[in-house]
Amino acid sequence: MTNRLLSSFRITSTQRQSFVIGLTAFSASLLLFALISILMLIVGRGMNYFWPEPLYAVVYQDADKGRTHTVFARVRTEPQKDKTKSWWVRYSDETTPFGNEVLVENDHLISVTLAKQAARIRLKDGREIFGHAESVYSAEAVALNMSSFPILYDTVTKISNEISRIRLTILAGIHESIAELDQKGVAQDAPARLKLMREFEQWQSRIETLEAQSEAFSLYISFASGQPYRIAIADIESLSVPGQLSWWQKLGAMSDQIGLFLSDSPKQANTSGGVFPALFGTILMVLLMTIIVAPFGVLAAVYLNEYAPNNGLTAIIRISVSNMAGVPSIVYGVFGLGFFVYTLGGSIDSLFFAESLPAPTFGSPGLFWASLTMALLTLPVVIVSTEEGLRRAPEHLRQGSYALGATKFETIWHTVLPMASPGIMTGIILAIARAAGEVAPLMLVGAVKFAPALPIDGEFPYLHLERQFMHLGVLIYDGAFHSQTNSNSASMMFAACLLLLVVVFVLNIVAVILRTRFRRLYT
Amino acid sequence: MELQEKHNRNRARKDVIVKRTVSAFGGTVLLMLVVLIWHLLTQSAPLLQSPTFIKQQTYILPLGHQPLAIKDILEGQVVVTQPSPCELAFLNLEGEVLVEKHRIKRPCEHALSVRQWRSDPYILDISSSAIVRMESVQNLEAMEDIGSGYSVNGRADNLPIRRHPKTFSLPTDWWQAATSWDVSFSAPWLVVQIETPDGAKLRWVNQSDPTRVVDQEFLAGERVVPLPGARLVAKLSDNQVDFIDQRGQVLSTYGFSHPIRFATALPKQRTLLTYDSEKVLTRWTLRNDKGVLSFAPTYSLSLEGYGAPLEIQAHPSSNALALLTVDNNLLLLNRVTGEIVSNMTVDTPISGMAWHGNRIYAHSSNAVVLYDVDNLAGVTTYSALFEPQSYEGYPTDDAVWQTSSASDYQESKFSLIPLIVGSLKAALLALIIAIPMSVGAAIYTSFFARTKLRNILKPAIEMLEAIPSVLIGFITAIWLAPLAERFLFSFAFFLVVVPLLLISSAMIQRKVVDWFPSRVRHGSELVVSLLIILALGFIAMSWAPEIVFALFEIDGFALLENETDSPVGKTTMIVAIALGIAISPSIYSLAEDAINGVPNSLKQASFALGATRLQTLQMVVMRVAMPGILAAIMLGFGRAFGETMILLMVTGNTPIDSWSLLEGLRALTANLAIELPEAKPDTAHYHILFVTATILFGFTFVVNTLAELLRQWLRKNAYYD
Repeated sequence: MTNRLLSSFRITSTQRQSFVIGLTAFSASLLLFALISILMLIVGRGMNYFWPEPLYAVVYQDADKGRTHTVFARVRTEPQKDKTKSWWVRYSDETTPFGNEVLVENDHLISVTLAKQAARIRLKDGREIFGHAESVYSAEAVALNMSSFPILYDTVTKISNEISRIRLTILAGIHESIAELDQKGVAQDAPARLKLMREFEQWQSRIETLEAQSEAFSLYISFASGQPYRIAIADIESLSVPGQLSWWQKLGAMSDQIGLFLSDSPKQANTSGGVFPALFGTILMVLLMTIIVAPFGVLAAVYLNEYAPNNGLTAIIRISVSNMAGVPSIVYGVFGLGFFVYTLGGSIDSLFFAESLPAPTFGSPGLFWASLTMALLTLPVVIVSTEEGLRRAPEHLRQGSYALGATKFETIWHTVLPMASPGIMTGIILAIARAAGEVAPLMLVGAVKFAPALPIDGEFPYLHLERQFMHLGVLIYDGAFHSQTNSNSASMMFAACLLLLVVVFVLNIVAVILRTRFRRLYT
Repeated sequence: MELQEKHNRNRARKDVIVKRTVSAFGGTVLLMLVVLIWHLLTQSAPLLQSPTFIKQQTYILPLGHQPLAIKDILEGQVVVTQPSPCELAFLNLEGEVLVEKHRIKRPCEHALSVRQWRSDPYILDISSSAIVRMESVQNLEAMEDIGSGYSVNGRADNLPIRRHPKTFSLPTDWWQAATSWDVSFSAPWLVVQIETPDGAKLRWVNQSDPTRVVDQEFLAGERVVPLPGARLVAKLSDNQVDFIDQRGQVLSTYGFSHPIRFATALPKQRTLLTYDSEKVLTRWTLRNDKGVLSFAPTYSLSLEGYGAPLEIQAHPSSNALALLTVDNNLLLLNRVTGEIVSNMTVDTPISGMAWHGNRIYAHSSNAVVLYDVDNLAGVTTYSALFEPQSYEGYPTDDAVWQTSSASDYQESKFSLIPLIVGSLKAALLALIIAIPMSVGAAIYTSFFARTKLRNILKPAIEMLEAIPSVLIGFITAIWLAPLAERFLFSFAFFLVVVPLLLISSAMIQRKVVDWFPSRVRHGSELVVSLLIILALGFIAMSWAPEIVFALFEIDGFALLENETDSPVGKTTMIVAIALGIAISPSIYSLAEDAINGVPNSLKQASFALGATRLQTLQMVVMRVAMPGILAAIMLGFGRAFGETMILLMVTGNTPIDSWSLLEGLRALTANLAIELPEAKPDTAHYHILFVTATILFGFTFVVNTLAELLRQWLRKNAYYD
């Protein structure tokens, strides 16, 4: 009886096979799912940063005081572990015009309605104000309606351009002349000096008039509670009313925002502005690394494959080189700090920069050491890939070349290297992709979360290899620590993630395309 | 003809030049790899070598000057000596000679001496009416006009010692009966110990409020060691030690069989060292025993052959302890492990010493001898790194990694065990998560899926590998960690439901598939399982915890919180899931190659013999590809072990010596990223961090080499194509 029951439940071999297929297919789709969800999360949350979000009029109750607030705000829901929803409300009102963020529980939220008229005013220092734009005042204190905002905005821009023109061209010149007089030891009451001082004061007062004038142009807004608030137009970077924008206009606003993100520097502790210095630092570091790694990697591979004696030692070296690719990246960072920065950099300092010691020049982490460390890290990738390419050149081609009387160099240059070029290109591009995404060693050898100056500027020698630099990955790493409480920072960091992902993916895809392209060319 | 020859000569020369250039570049690269390994090893090596004493210089003191305190002479700091009972002299190094710079004179009925507290000497001046003035020498040095106030014949009332002194009084009757006296310092209490014929007297003075005092009296014959840092007093008699608090209550008592000959407390008074008649040195450490502070013995070590201790000095910033014996042996100990790491017999008898950086200034009655301690980092032994130790303040032996103590004279806790445990548990759990996913996916793509599907699947999954790990870390930290509690229950639910679902679908699959048009039949399992994951994932995330709780009538979130000391979002489980996803594609890619590399002839032979696809997979493909899959797993393990960013961003980086999956962790890699930028070169900390880097390097290098050899073996033996 039992036997019969069992046998009726016995799994047939077909069912077993379907089980295994199902199981393996399930694993594959699990990985696909992981990939898709990561990509969707980054793309979704990242694009969200650029998309002009709608503004809401939110009425909520204070959790502890029980007061009711009416504010214009951006809202985001967040599921809690006990399945209730709570709302992140980023608002501005009369007490905190430049924005504040609170977590409101569902019970305390009274109403959320779309505020079609509410404007999002972005200030030049990166802060934001949400409010209903009421009217603008020109310098003559005449109230005008909102339609004249663009005209006034242009006027103010012209004035501030004029101010900076005076500062840069005229005042700077006067300053220079005064400094020259100081150097020559000209007396305080010398006529030349007095003349300069008079001129200086004239222009200074002109600037003050202009500033007062531009300050007088103002925009009046009202918060959701009805309270008015004045903003100087000179402080405003942009004004938009998300509720009024059409779909196309929203796309336009989005591309503006992307442009700003790529070209601006971070503001308000990485919660607004852009990531230009980090992007610039990443690209510059990768570029320097490529310049270092390409010749060394390729020539080392040529040496190993073409010149090195084909014995056990070379085999050991080959295995070691390919194993270096699996060494944890942080170990390269440790080596970079200990050997490049402290040992090499310390020696360079004591040889060439002895006058500025004990303040280190090259003896502290910087751009050059970071590039060198990354070059070392990616060297195995280039060597292995180049060697693979070199091995694809068939032996008979080489022998044919020798038979025609070519030297070894000519054979390599004209026959072997062209065939190996897909491998070389792939190796270099994969190295670049790896270097762009690698963060851990950089934190030891020169990448910082905030660098006051770019590594390239107008000062001799223009490229400052010893300077610390900003890096997208380090920015994201740092952002992870204060993004948990600040939704602005989180969404900006997601945008940075998206950027890094795009950079890395584009490089990888280029590598794949180049590989297939060259392969087709030479086979 | 000649032109041709010249041209050929040029070609030959070019060939040689290129050969040399290429060899030079290749050599440079290989040299760099050698330098890398060499640098890691040489920076780790100081820990293997013992520190050594090197005698540098002898500085003769002026006749009759008794040295009281020695600061770092080579840095231009002073030696304080006592040329006569009522005078103190300050000496500086000029060239090679100690020259007297200033002199303080006090009334001869005063007791005048110097005591050291935290490498800074304090001048103590006790008047006959038992008023104590205390002033740090550093304060005196800081005064610009130090010379003007006291010349050789300086008047007593014009002393700079008056400017910022701490003043407090002692009981006059004690002071009049005093035979000897001493002061022990700590913050905020200091203790003046007065020996009288009726026994020891102690006065505790609160330094921030010198009117707050506590007096204690002891009987004649009782030896007393004040421990103001612990607010205790050790009372030693022949066969027992009592630890007494400020109010005189005996908190704990230890008996022992051999009388104690010598006892001293290290600065901060959290460690007491005793030496008994059996020539055994015992270390006692302060510990918190259920709210009561008490001392308990830790290790004992025999000083047989070295002689009884005369003086013990702790190094301010490392675990080194210099011990001078009556037989003129200078020993260097690790204060935590109690190992003698170095010893030397000094040729001139010395009576005391001071320790600054890596310099020991030993002094006899007429000279100061400078010893350099070479390679002080070598105090850290194997035992300090890899064995549980008894630390100050810890009730039991423990493996602790704790380096960032700003205050001096603190024990550094350099146990690597918590870090290694952290790295291993994250990597192993990640591997457990990654293996089924990646090997399963590899089998599917390379064996079951058709070429067309494979050509899409493989690059897609390999794209996952290109995602920088900092992004995975960021997503886990920002998005997954806040949901961690729900996620863990959903994950458990998922794990239970999926096999059931797969089995039941396998039961009906045959019948269902027959309805499908044959064009979409192939690959449908992938689509179906994606849909299943989506549906199941949604169910798991939104309802699973409630279902589980209702089923077992528990509140899982509370249980989970009770189970762990770390926030749930920072536990090993969450890290391992992120890490598992990060390493899956690399395991997948290599395993896929291994399975795909199995020659078609083998498979076809198997099919020809009538085997099903499953049988072929089991009997032929997996057997041939197994070494390759193992190699893939090993490489994946190496990658998980060496991953930094995910571990750094997701874990709380708490170095906990626990294998619990619900606790946080700190990995070797993350630890390097956190601490190396702060570590000063050439300290024990720096070298220990290099040791961890070497461990990481060695471990991954060995694992990778084994995997590589396995793959080569596979290529040679199994794929005979």
